[in-house]
Amino acid sequence: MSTLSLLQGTVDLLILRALQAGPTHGYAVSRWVRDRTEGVLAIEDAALYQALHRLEGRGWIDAEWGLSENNRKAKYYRLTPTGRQQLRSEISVWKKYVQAVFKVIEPA
Amino acid sequence: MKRLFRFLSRSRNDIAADVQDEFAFHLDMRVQDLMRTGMAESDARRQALEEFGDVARGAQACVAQGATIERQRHVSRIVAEFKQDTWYGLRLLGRSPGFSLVALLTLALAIGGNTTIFSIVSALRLRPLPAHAPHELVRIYTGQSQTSWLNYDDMRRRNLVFSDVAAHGMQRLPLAVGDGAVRLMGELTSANYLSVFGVRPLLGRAYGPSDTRADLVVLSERTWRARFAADPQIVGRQLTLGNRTYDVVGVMPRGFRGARPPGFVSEFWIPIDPARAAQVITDRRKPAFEVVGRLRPGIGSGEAQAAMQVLTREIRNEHPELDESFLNTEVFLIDGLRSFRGVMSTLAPVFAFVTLMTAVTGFVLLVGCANISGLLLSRGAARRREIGVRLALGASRGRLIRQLLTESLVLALIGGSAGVLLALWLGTLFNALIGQLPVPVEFDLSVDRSMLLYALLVSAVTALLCGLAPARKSTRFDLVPALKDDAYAPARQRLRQWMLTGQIAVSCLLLLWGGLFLQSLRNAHEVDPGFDPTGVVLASVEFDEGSLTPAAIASQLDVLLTEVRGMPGVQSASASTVVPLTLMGREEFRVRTDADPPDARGRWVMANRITPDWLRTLHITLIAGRDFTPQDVAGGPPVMIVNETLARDAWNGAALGQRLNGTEVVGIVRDSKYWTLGETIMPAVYMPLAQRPVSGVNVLVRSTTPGATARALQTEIVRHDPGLAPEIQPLNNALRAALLPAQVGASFTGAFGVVGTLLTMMGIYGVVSFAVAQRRREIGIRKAIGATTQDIVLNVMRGIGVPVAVGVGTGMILGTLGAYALRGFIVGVSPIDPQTIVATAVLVVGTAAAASALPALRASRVEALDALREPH
Repeated sequence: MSTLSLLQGTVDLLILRALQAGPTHGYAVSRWVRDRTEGVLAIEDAALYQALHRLEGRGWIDAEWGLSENNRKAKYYRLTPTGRQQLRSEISVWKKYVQAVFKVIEPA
Repeated sequence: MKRLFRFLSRSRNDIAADVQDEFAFHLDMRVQDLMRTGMAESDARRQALEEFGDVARGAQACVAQGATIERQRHVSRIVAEFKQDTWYGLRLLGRSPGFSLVALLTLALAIGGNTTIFSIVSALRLRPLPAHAPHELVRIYTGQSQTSWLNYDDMRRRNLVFSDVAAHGMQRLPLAVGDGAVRLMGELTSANYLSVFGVRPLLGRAYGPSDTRADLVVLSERTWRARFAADPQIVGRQLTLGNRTYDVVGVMPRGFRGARPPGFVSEFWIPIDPARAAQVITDRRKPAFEVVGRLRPGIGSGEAQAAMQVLTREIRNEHPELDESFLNTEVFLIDGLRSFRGVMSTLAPVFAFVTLMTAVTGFVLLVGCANISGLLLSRGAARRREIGVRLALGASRGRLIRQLLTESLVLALIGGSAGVLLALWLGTLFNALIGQLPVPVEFDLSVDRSMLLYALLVSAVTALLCGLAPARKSTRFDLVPALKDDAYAPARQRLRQWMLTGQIAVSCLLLLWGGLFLQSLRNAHEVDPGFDPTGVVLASVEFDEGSLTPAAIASQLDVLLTEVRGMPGVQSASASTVVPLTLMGREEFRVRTDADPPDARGRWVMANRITPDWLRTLHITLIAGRDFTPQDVAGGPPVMIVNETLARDAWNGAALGQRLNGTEVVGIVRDSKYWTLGETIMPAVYMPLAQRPVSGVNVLVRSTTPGATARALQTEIVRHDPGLAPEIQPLNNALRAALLPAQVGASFTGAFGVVGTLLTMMGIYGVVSFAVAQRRREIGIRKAIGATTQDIVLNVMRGIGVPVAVGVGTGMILGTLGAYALRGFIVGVSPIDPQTIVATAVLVVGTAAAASALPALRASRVEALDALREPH
């Protein structure tokens, strides 16, 4: 299956979802998205990092330098309470959106 | 862009490095993962880069984003720090209540005083004439402030430079209230007067040229409130002023004062009734109105003046009986200080008061600042361990200065708020004081935005003034000795010593002035005004100018005086237009003697119109010639009496038979004071009231039983004509206005002088205590090697010798210079008064000695061994 280009705003949702399990670094976020979508949704890493920094600016995630599993200095991102709230509302919006689109393209 | 980042704690380079590290970590991880699947390193790196996309652009975007975040954080950090500093400052204030109370009181006093001054000045000057397009309004003087009705009417009809010209004159009328009457000060105006200003009435309408009736009255907002309880139904009601009934047609808005100077209140306006005011308006030579004009658009006051001078020349050619001075027509804008022309002398005490208070409160603010600055310095010294620790922990000096400044700002703002409350109270007090003036004067000193803004500004400047130097000083030192609690360098006391010198100088100056005013107050009761007010009763009455001819007024007054002379206890009864020293009435003339060259402008003299016996009533001695007699009437040869000063100045004393403006001098009297007690005697003339009668007259009665006479006089005058609405009081009471400047001066400089001295005392105490604390070890050593208590006390006290000496010297010099400027209000004391100077110096030096003795004594009790053993 070839890769799909992404809908606007989806990257933010994916990042927030990736961080729901706990703080982690950008590389892990990138891997998590790749693994969960089985490579269908390919996000360019440069775009991913820009999104991470943007979300940090909005106060949805926090960043902190820490040590990675192989003892290297890595920047760890963590959901803030507002970020967690944002994730919940974006998921519900997304579900409604998808259901609506499905109703159109596959009428019952 | 660069500027914005200058204050960032993380630079753009730091951010870029972070982004680089983050990307490098990502790529390395990816390469490792790919190699783990068996890929060659170069292939793995190529694929990782491919997946990553545009590294450079991504990095750039991330760095920009990072910088934004950094900036936001910086701002919120400053806000948070400010909050934290404010709380810390408040907590510190609570922890040293003594210091806080003193500092806050000082600030409240000083800022309150300054704010009061500001609102007075702004009420006087900054508020423009309440009128539409005030820059078009001018006053027209025809050689003097007043113009006759016929001349006014000619000027109005024949000029080409004004869109309208109106006339107004003061009119005192009794308003019937129940059985009695109150006298209101209003204006009799031409019908178009109110419309010239283009101000909408608050209620009803203003009368205008189209009104056919003249029994209309417009009230001021103040009168409407004070006399009619702000009755919303006032329009259409009738009220009785004098012996006539008027219909109320409107109420002017608050603050409207026509063309009168700021602060001068008019209580009503009535249109002139040509049918009834024939006496006033048919005599071309009788100046009775002030004239205001509205310039046509595009015409300046200079142009208008030139045009009016041509016009007045024409008018005088047609009416050669007019005085030559009529040609000196002036046209000037009614703004700024010029709007006070003509009433400058009435307001002189007010101006003097304002100037004095400006100086005094300014000085107290300075002393207060110096004191708080000193207190902050000492506290900074006490806190230098805390500050040292914070510096060692990495706080920047700028951050600490900001903290210390925030603390003084908190102090200044609280003090400033208290100051605004104080200013409100002082404003009421000020209005109560000037309410004693015989003219209705009131200033609008309520809180407004500009006043609050001013108070805020003063507070902020104060905070900077007293906070900056201590903040800089307390944070400038080497870390290590500060942490080790080593001795403070003595040089740090130098700033404090300078401030102390200034404080002593200011206290000295204030006390000197206070002393002069106090003596002046004492002298004012004793100074000889040239007449004897004791036993004299004053009754001010107002004849109805509208219905009575001047001759009728003169004869009615004559009848009244004859009746009064027959009352029990009365020794003499008389009347005059001016009552000296009461600020009631003032007339000034420019006169020429026959000997003066015809082109000379003449000399100014003070004038009064009196009846026969007036001089005897006031015990003013006739030196030569005769008093006026009942034969000096209108139609008879005009005569006048001059005072000694004028006789000496103009004719070397030989004044009898000489002529002044064509009038024969028939008598010379002893000099007496005219306007203020502090004045040097001015040349003065007296004219027979009967030859120039006016409606507003002051009846003066000397009696052996003044109290009983005052009561009987009330009944007698009302029986004679209830419309006269007499205001009766002992002359001594009315003279209190003359004491006002000295009273105000003494109370204010005195009060602020005491405050200043207290502050200085605290300053000295603080400085000496601090010095002693610093010198404990040294004092211990001195005692160990045999110094006595006396030696130590003297040694400590000598430390403030120089500031005290220099301060007292400077204060005396500046104070004496200032006293010269105030000498018009200082009665019977020379500005250089050795007694006051010595007394002030002794007081200040004594206070300084007392304030330093206590800490010095404490120092001398230091046990030598204790001091030496103390850890340091």
